[in-house]
Amino acid sequence: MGKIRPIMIKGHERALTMIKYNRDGDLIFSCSKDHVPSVWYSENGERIGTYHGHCGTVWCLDVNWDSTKLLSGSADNCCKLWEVQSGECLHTWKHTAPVRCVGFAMGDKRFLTVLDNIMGNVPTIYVWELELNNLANHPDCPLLTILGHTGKIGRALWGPLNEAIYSVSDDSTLRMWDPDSGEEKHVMEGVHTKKITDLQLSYDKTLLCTSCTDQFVRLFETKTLRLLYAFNSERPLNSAAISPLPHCPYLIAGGGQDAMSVTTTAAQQGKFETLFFDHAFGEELGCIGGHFGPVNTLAFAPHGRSYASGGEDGYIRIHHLDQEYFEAYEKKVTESGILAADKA
Amino acid sequence: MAPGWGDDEAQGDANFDLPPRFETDVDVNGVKTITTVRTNDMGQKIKTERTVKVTKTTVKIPKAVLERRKWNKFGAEKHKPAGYHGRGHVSEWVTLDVNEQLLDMKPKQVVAEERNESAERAFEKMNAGTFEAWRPKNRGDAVNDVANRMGHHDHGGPGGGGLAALAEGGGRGGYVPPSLRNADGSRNAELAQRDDSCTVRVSNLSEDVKDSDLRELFRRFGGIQRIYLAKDKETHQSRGFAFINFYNREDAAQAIATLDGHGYDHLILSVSWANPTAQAPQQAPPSGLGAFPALGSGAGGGGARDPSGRPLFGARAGGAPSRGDAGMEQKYDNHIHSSSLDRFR
Repeated sequence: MGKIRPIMIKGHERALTMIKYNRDGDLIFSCSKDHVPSVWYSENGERIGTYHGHCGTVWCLDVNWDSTKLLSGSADNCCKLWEVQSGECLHTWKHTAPVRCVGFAMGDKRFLTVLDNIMGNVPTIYVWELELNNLANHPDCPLLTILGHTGKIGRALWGPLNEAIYSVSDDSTLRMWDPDSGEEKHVMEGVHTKKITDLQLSYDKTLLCTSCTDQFVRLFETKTLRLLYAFNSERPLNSAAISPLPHCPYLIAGGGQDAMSVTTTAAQQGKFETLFFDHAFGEELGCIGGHFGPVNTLAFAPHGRSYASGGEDGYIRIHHLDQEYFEAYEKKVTESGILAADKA
Repeated sequence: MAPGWGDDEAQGDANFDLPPRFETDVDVNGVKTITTVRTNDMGQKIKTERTVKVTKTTVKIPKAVLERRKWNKFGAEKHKPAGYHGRGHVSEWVTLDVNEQLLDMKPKQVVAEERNESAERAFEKMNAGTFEAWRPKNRGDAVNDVANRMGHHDHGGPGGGGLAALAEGGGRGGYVPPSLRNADGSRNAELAQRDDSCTVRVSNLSEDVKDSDLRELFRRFGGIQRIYLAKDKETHQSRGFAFINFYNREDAAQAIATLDGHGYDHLILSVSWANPTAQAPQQAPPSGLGAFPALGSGAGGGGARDPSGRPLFGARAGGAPSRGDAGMEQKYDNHIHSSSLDRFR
C-alpha cells in the first residue's frame, strides 16, 4: 500500500477549470473561474507568476512545446497569447462567444480555438495561423472554420503530426477532422451516451481517453479510433488522463456529483476521488480522495511520476507517486506469469 | 541538501550542556553513524545513535528546466524572491496535506469483476450499435414482465411461481440494492444469481484470519471470483467460516481435495462444497417442485435437511467422514445454519 502526501495549493479563489503540465513536467499551468491563470513549479507548488488580463472565467490553457508561450481561452470571448516567463500578453483574438478550448499545433505554426454555442453561435472549431515573429500584423480571421457538432464542444486537440483534429462534444460524439480542409474524417456516434467532458492524448499520442457523464472512461486507439477499454467508474466523470509510463499502463479518472447537487450530499457520497484503472489487465486499482468538491480536471506529468488534480473546491493537489506505484504492475505481471505456469 | 519535510532535527532550544551532533565519516560500505544527545521531558539525557547508509543517486535535469528554475517571479508574485526554492518550500498558498492518501495498487478484484461484467456487456452492445444496456427499464414493463413469468410458471403453485419470478431476477420494479445494480440502475442478473456451483465453504478458521490470508491460501488453485469471510459485526473478527467463489469447478474441487483436513493456524481446516444439494442432486431428497431444482429443497424449510432432520450444510450429502472433534463439527453446523447466514445464501 503506497502512501502519498499530496501538496495542496489554494491559489485560486474559485473552481479550477483546467490544469496542464508543460513538456518537461516541471511547470504546471492552471486556470480557474477567477479570471487569472497561474504557473507553478510542479515539484513544490511554488507559484512563479500569474497572467492578468482576462475578465471572465478562463476555461482552457495550452502551453507550447518549449514552454515559452501560453494560450488561454476565456468566457470574456477572448483568446490570449502570453509570454510564459514574463506574464506579458502578446496578442488577443476576439471571438463572438466564450472560448472553450485552445490548442497549439505541433510546431507552433497553427493553433485551434473552440467557440461555445451560446449567444446564437453554433459550436465551432477555428484553426488560426500563428506567426510568433510577426504578431503585430497578425490576421484577425481564422484560417479554417470547422462546423459539424450539434452540441457544445468540450475539448478539441491536435492529433499526432497535426494529421487530424479530435473533438468531443455534448452531443456525445467524438469526431475527427482534417485540419487542412476542415472535412469530417470520422464521427463516432453511439459509443458515448451522454455529454463527453474531457479528451486527452497519451504522451506518445497513440492512445486517446475520454471521460463522459455516463460514468464511463474509455480508451481509444488514436489512429483508428478503435475502442480498447471502457471502465465504469460509477460517478459522472469530468476528466481522465493516461499515465505516460509504459510500465504503468494506467488511466486516471475523476469527477463526482455535479456542483448543483453537491451541497445536498456529504463528501464521501459525492465520490470525489480520483480512480486508477489498469488498462492492460482491465482492472480497477485504487483511488485517491482529498477533494471536497468534484474533480474538474486531471493532468499526468509527462515524466509519469506525479499527477495533478483540480477541483470545484478551488484546490490544486499535486500527487507525487511513490515507489510501490511504479513496481505494482511488474509485480502483477510476474505473479500472473507464475499463476499461468502453475496451471500449465 | 535541504532537510526533508519530515525531519525534525532542528530543536528550537539548543542546550549548551549537551555535546553537539557528531557524524562519523562514511566508511567503505557507505555507512556513517550520527550521534545526537538530547534531554527529554524528565530531564534525562538521551543519546541516539543512528547508522545511515549514504547512497548517491544521479538525477538528470534538462537544461531548459534548470534555466526555468532561475526565473523571476511575475504578476501577483512579483515581490517574491526569484527562482526555485526546492522541495519543502512553504508559501502562503501551499500546504502539505495533513492526511496521507493511501493508494492501494492491488486490483479491486470483486469490484472490478462486477463492474467489468456490466462494462463488458455495455462494450458488446456498443460494438453492435445498440444501447439497450443503458436504457433504464420501464417500470410498467417490468411489472408486466413479472406478471407474465408468474403466469408462465403457474403449475408450480402460487408460492412457487413467486419464487420462480424472484429467482429469475424478477421484482424488477421494486427496490434493487446498489450492490446489485447495473450502471443504469437496473438489476444485474448475474450478480443476483451468483453461481454457487464453484463455491467452497471453509470452516474451523481461527479468529484472526483475514481476507488476504484466505486469498493467499486459495489462490494457488486458480482464479478466485469472490471471497466472503464471515465477520463479527462488532469486533470485525472472523467468525470461523468463509466462502470462496472460484471461476472453475475443477479449481474448487482441487482446493477441497488438498485443503480439507489441512492444518492452518493451529486448527484443522474443514473444506467442502458450499452448496451440497447442487453438487449431488441425485442424493438430494426428491423435490415436489421439479420446475425449480435449485430452489426445490429450500422452499420447504430453512435449508436442506436429511431424513433425520440434521442440517446438511455442514456435512456432504453422502455423510462426510467427520474430522476432528465431533462436537466441534456440530457447533459449526449450527453456526452455519444460523438465520443471519441465510441472507448470504
